[in-house]
Amino acid sequence: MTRIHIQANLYEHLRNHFSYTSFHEGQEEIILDVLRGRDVLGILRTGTGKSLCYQLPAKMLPGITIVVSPLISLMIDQVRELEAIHYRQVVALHSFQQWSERQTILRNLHHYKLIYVSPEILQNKQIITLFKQQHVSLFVVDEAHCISQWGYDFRPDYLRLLEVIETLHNPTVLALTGTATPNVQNDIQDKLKRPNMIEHVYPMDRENISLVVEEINGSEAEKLDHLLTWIKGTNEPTIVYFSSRIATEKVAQHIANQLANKRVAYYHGGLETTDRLKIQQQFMNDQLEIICCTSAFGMGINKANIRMIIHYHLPPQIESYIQEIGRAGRDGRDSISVLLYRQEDIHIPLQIIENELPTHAELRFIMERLIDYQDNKVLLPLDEDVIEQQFLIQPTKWRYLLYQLEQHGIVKEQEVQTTESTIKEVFNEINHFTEQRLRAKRQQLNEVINWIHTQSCLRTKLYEPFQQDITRKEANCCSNCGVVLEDSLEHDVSTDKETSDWQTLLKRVLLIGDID
Amino acid sequence: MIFRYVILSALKNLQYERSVSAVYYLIQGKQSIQTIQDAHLFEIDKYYRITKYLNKKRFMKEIQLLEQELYLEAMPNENYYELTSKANEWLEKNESKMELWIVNGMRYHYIDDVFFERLLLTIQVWANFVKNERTYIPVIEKFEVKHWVKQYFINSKNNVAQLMKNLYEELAEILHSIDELYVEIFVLQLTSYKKYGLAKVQIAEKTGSPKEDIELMTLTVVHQILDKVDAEPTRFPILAHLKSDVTEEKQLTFSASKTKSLLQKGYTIEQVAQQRRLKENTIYDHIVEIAIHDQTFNIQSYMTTDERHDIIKAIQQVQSYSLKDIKQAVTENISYFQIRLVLASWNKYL
Repeated sequence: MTRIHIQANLYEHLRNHFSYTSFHEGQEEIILDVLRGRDVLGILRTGTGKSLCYQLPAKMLPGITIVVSPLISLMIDQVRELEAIHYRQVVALHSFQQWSERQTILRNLHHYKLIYVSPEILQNKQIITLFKQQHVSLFVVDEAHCISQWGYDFRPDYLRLLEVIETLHNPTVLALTGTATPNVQNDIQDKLKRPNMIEHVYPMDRENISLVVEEINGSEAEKLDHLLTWIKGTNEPTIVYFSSRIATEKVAQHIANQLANKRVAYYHGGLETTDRLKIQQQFMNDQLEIICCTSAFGMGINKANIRMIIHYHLPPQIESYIQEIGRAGRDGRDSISVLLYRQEDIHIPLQIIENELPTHAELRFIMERLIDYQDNKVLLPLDEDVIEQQFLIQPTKWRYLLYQLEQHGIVKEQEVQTTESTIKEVFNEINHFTEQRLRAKRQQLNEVINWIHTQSCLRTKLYEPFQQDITRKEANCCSNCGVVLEDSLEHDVSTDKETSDWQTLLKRVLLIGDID
Repeated sequence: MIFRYVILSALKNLQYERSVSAVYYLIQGKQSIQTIQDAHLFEIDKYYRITKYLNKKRFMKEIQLLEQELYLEAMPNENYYELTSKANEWLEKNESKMELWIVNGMRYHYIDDVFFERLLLTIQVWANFVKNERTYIPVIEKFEVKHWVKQYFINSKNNVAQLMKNLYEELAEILHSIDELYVEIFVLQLTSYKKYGLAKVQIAEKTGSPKEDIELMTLTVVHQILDKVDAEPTRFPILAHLKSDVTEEKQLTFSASKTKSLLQKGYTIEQVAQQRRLKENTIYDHIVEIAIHDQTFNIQSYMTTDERHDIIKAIQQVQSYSLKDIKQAVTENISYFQIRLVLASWNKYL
């Protein structure tokens, strides 16, 4: 097919599957390259429809498109949304599925055009064998910064994707992300062994978002008061980010107590699936205006009218901060991002960083246990609960370690193969690597702190590492350039808090008196 | 409060012959012979599987809290606890309040979830259809439920407005007989057109009760609906349809039911074991399992009348359901298997 043909075809598919008549910046260029079988690295800011870059080709390519997604909730959201617009032949494979459901999907793999998977699922032998028998046209790594040890959220199974791609007979590779410094971009290509990817990098600054950093010289209670003041000033959809689950619950409760007319809920990864779904959809349907949440909320949330993003705690790095504030004002209207900061806050992310990686003592303990496993010829358990009991280590840390052990050849398919002297050596190497990771994470946090303390334009400073030209914002640029808020008057609207009796509620649910 | 009540009263019923894990297995619904046997034996079968999604950590945390607040006292054996007088008083004080909380876990555990989820999704699908909304996110994700509701929707498409009115009538009639607070908690969870129901954690915040209580209160409403519908299915056609083709699969394990059919054909235990290449002990387990589920199952062929009387007498004498204690009180030739069989059908001898 000629280029013209492909392009005409492209618009037809866009209309048929998505009811759109035009593309956002960057989408068409990326899709055309993908359809021509070129490996692509696409960097598009959040909210510009990254996912369309593979959802559309998936319908046009002869074989299957596999999308590696970092979060189960994210892939469930995407499948849900595609099903809602009647985009068929899409499915997600993840570890929360019942066995029977997964088997049904696997038996019918050839029925699907687009399959979402987690990197962990791709390590499952049965699944990879079945994939191997299919024709895979396109292999997508969504949120590709996860591959890079310099991106946030280092996940060892992401590093095994190269092997997976080779097993699947080297389909076209598309790596997508919302934020990546040149450093991370290189690392992604490096880890995927695809040095010649076509790079499509688009600017990520958002000129309709005002940036405010507010330093509070006072107690935690005073910080909470500042938060209330910001929230009082608006009736429009607001997300407040926290770095701990318990904080989302406490502050949501506080807001509900203090501001009776606000509809607020909390959201974090510890909630049941159904509760999460309901709260998310309430927010989408404007039944709620404020969500207090951890970073688990937001990825894949496509709500156009979010007006304010507040960070109550420090984000762990600039990249995640840019992604999170990028959820505001997708409709193009003026929006605001507020970061509340007390000097003492630095301890929270530092603590989190310490807890993410195995400590020296944990590492030593495990290395000693490994010798027992080898001597007794026992296989390492797969079940993470069992791991937790036997090695006294959290699953996330174990996954990190297991990858390291496999890389050093000490563990092979659950079997420990080593000698006392190698173990010592590897122990030192892993230790060294871990320290390096810790330093890198602290460095990323430092960048956030430095940015907060910038005296010059916050916008320029924030986007500088990612792009060359930054759009000038004339008014309400940032708290350093000056922000005047028109909307800061307290609104007094009555929101419909439910006080009806159950009969009325039930009638409303079943639309009695509403339809005939 | 309800969650605590369940834990404390279950522990009390178990007469301190079991560890707290037995309570966890009971309410979480472990499908083991021991758990099901306990449920019947200690008359706590209504608590069976009423908190299916409870994890052990959360349960043990509650036990810890109960101990800290002096409702429970640790016994010498690990994980064994005794109710304090404070706990007993508390149970007594709340007894009348708890009369509103009616569940029947053993009877409905296999169907309550599916029924409620079908109801939730059907309402959402109908409401959106009537409002001409075609793109929305279904509130239930489970594959089987979505599939079932889709089929039902196809068959009901031409009559949705009327069916919604009828469903209102059916639900209202049943809900009128249930305590208002319970009903409100139930209704707040329903999802309609552009209006998602409240999450359990939201209702928990609103009412200041723990999330588990909200689940248990919802369960009361679901079980009472199922009760009414079972009694008069023709009076509640929509609700009856929503529960129509759910069958209890796991009453007997697959292996035990295979054993059962061979035994019914007249094979002896040894023959069954040989034919199925299983240990005889496994077949014994199957027989106990069969006896638990089928109270008409004849245990006479596995012991003489004298042996049976001997076991019954021993149980009454030691005042305990502990196998070890009973075994010590009967003549030596009586086996553990025979004691377990008598216990399995113990309700018959009370």
